[in-house]
Amino acid sequence: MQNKSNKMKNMRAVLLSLLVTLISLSVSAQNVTVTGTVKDKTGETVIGASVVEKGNTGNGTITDIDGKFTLSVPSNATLVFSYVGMTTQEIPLKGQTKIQVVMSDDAQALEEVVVIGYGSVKKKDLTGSVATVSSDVLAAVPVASATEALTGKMAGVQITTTEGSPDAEMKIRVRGGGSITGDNTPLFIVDGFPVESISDIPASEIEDITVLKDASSTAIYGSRGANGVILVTTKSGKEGKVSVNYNAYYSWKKMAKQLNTLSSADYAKWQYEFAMLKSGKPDQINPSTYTDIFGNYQDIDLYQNVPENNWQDQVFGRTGHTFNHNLSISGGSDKMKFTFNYAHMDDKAIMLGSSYKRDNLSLKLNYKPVKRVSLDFSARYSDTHISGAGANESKTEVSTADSRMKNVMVFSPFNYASLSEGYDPDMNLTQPLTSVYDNDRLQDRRTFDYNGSFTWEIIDNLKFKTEFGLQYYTNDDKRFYGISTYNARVNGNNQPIVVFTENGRETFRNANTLSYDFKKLIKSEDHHLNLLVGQELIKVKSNTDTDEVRYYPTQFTSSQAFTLSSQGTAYSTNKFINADDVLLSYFGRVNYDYQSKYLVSATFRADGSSKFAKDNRWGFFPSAAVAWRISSENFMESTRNWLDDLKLRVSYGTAGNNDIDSDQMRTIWSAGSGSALGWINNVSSFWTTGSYMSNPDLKWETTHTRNIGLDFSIFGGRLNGTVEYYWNSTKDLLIEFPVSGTGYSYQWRNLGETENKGWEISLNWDIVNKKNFGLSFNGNIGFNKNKVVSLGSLNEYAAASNWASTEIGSDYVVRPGSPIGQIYGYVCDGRYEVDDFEGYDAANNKWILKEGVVNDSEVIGEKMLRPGALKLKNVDGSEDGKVTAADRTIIGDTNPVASGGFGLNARVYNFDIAASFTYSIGNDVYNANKIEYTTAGNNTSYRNMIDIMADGKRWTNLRADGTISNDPVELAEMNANTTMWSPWMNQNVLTSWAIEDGSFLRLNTLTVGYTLPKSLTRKVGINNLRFYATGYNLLCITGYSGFDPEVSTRTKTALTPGVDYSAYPKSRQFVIGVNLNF
Amino acid sequence: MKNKLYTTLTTAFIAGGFLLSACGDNILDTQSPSSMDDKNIFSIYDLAIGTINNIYTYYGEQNHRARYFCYYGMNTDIEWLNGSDGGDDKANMVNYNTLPNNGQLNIADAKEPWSNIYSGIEKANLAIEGLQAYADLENDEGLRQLYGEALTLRAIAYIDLINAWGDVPHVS
Repeated sequence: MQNKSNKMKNMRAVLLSLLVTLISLSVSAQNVTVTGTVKDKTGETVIGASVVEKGNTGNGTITDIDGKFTLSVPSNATLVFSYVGMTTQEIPLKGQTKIQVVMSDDAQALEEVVVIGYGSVKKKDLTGSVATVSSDVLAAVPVASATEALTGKMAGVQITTTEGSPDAEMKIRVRGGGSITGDNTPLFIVDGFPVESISDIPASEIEDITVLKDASSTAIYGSRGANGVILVTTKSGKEGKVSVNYNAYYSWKKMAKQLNTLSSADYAKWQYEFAMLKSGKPDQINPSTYTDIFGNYQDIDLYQNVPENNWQDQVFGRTGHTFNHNLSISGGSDKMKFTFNYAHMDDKAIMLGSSYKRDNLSLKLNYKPVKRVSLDFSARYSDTHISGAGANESKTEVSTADSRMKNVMVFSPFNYASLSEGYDPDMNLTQPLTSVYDNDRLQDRRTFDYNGSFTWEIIDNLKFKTEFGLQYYTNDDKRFYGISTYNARVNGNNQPIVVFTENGRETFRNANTLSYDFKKLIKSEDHHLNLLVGQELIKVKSNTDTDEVRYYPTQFTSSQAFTLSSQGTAYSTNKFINADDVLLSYFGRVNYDYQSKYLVSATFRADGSSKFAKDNRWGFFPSAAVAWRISSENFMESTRNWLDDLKLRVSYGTAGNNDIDSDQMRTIWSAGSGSALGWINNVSSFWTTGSYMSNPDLKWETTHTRNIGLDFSIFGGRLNGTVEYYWNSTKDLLIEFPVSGTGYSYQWRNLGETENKGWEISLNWDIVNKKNFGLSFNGNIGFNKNKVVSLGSLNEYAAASNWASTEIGSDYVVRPGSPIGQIYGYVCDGRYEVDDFEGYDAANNKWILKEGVVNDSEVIGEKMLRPGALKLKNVDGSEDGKVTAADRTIIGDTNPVASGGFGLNARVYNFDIAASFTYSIGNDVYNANKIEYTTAGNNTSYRNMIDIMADGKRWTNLRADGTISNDPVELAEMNANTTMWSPWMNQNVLTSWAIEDGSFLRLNTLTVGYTLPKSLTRKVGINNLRFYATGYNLLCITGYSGFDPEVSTRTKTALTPGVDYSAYPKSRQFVIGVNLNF
Repeated sequence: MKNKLYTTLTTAFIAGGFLLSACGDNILDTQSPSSMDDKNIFSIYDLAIGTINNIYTYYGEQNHRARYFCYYGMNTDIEWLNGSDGGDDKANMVNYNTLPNNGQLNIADAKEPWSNIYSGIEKANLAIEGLQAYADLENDEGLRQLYGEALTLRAIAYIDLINAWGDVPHVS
């Protein structure tokens, strides 16, 4: 939405003041001097409105700070009052010399311009499904990045902040996403240039963000448009006087929620029971595994008053601070416009050693040497430093053993003599602070963008535009594995390891478009036709350099290891240059409308991609859309007084997806990597064809979308909105097909079909708009239903999130007829009660199950099967009553039924208040943390637990004298009030108990601002001065028991969404800030 | 004058655009410079040896010689794994009772023993084929040695497969 009002205002102001100066010299004597005031409907004075004598536009002025004007005109003249965004008024003087003018707002929303691919259209002429967020919305709330600002703002665009770290991945899905194994991230286009991410662009630099949702609008992006397109337009210079904006904010933040762990006394008590259970000798008190560390059971009351270490406080407890400020200067003449931006952000996050710094510089120039020619140039620079490795790194991790959160949660709550300061093999955990220092990471990302374009209107209405763009991106990533890490222990001879990774990417783009508006040829007011044809070339060169240095001196810290790499041993080095990714395209678009009543648009794109072999490399993506402005029909005459606009849109089209690695269509040899490098003595490299079988027949994945939408605007635009229904089906899915046994693990294949169907509703309602009081509401909701229609020859496709290494195995499954993101595991049936057993066999220390009672010892462990053990359901109904791997079933669905957001904006005098909420309804979260924090696995000892398993809640077998009870009556009595099972289990078990409803309603931001009265600030040359305070994440209503329901940390594949494992906790934040414009 | 300049520029760009299509798909033929084709890799000993080392890495996997075949069927008249009667995952391999959820093996990522051994065979087949086609086996002793290694490694992999499964598909 190109909000032109500011630009126009400034331009007019300048022009008119110039005119006034000139004209005042030549005023003729017979004129009368007219004075007056211009106000808007709320009674607010209108500053800078233009007042011109009709028929003599040379004679005019603009209203001053108080909305007043003085103008000399002939006494019979007519005055024309105009102001951008308001209806122009003509008032005949008829001898009056004092007049009061009240101007009313234009129904301007429909005239706003919306950026679409390779061009823009008026909002009222849109035929496709497009959503936008403008700079006013972005500017109202202080956010770190553009993505954050979009959260909950657009129907059908679901943004999930996967965890709380400052560089957390923001998962964006437009209408669900059609791929199964592929990435469903939409295509990001910044000022025409395709980029990988928009998280490095400060929100202050953005003019507007448009999301193209249906294929009629995305088809112009051809092979890359299937998952939606997000178009970002950065701010341009504006004609008029130089305008300076300065915004700054400072924030404090704290961890939003902590989970309680056991008290010291309870911890010691459980350790004792656990040691007794493990010893297998129920009557011999004081097993050595307990007494070696904690002393005799008889003295257990010594732990009553031992203070607990709150590791959550120590690792995540600090108060984080963010300082963010930006300066923009813009201005220009009718020939030359410029804007310059600088933004700086310094974020000290809540986790020890975690910080985020970003600097952005940008310059945008527009030069119009002659009327028909325009030259644009822009340069952007972004520099991001990220310190700290966060709480997990599922995409690149060596092992989940190094996930940090479990150390924080279940490490011993107090010190004991043999407790390790580093890695503790008994607990199989690392001291939480050591684990933070030993898992360190420094990332340095730099992006340079240069874009230039040349536009020439060759003859009237025929425009030619050529664009060139170049982007350099580097990411310098250093990852330190200290001596306590799994990697150093297993691969590094207990000495530190550093992996240096440098990614480089160079993207070149050239696009040439020719557009023609047929208005001169048609010579009719009724018919409008315009045409666009174009050609584009995008070439991406990229490389990855990976150097691994091992065997550093053991006392080395991360900063020493990063800088003194010669003290280690170069273990492997690989400078890998990827195949160039080249895309050559031709495209065209036709827009036609009759009286703006019947609108038709059609697009076509042909894409050739280097990722596919010669015969399959060209893909063709047609689309068409029609729209009918019902409100313009004659039969709607009677509704004109309340119905401003009613438009029905229907579209159909195709868009593609080519998001696979290059070089998949032929077998090539490249350098092997990974742990296998160390397996052969004195061999530091080998050649391999990898684990992916080549496939010369690969082609595009194609998404067919059908969209029907209704736009309406009533009561003078006070209430407007959109209702849409879509049905997307994705065919020839690019799937990583498992080909076990052929010599390879996977082969990319085109097979199967998925579909997404859904509803979207968005609404804006200007409830009250009075002089000193205003209230408005905006909201959106999106319902999406994802379904896998077919998987080709496969019956199912299993995936493992691997949070517990190999203990759980496949915990997600994709099946035809069901959506993606289904969790697969055992069904929890509570616990075994005493009644389930015949009795206790003392000779073998075994409990004998009654006939007909399910036996899950194969899953939880044979020794653990006793009253109080976790009980699972025999889902397959096997006659032997045994629970086996075959009894796993679908136990959860991570897809929300609906998601979206809503906001309330109010103003009272000079105060403004805005609240914005986001919500998700009906999605399940896989609480893996909860499983780990309540399981006492047979291979670990001395781990703490969370208070779900506190004494009095968990099943207990422990008698007061320190022996284990095997007396059915006594056990039943001891556990009359307990509800949970006993934590003792062979290993982590995924049951339906860990699947929780992740529905939430979050008060994302609440802002209160105060703008100083303009009459005051203008005196010192300040246009606008606003102070504000914002609270982030003040409230989250949810039934979820973990840290936060908005989470997804096992993101190595797209198949395992919604896992809450070792997520960096989210924070609650309080911000104060200032906006200054002069 | 100016107009001429713009016309020239525009024509150049449009012509350039169509020229791209005229010169055809050649710009769409790309390959990683950090990779090798068969004909380059198998004619030079120092490169070809890397393809043979690749075969060894599959032997190093848990699911081949690192775990599976160390334990598989080990209890004979002359060998015995202590604790074989305990019923743990190692013992299960020793006792011909390898279950799909055996924790000693890495079942994920299509790396289970059967697939893993066939992956090694595939790499051996590629090396054998490449060496036959591009290596001067007559005169180059080093390459001949590599050829022999590839043949032998493939043979051992088949013996291991036959030991575990009996009749197995032969891919060469």
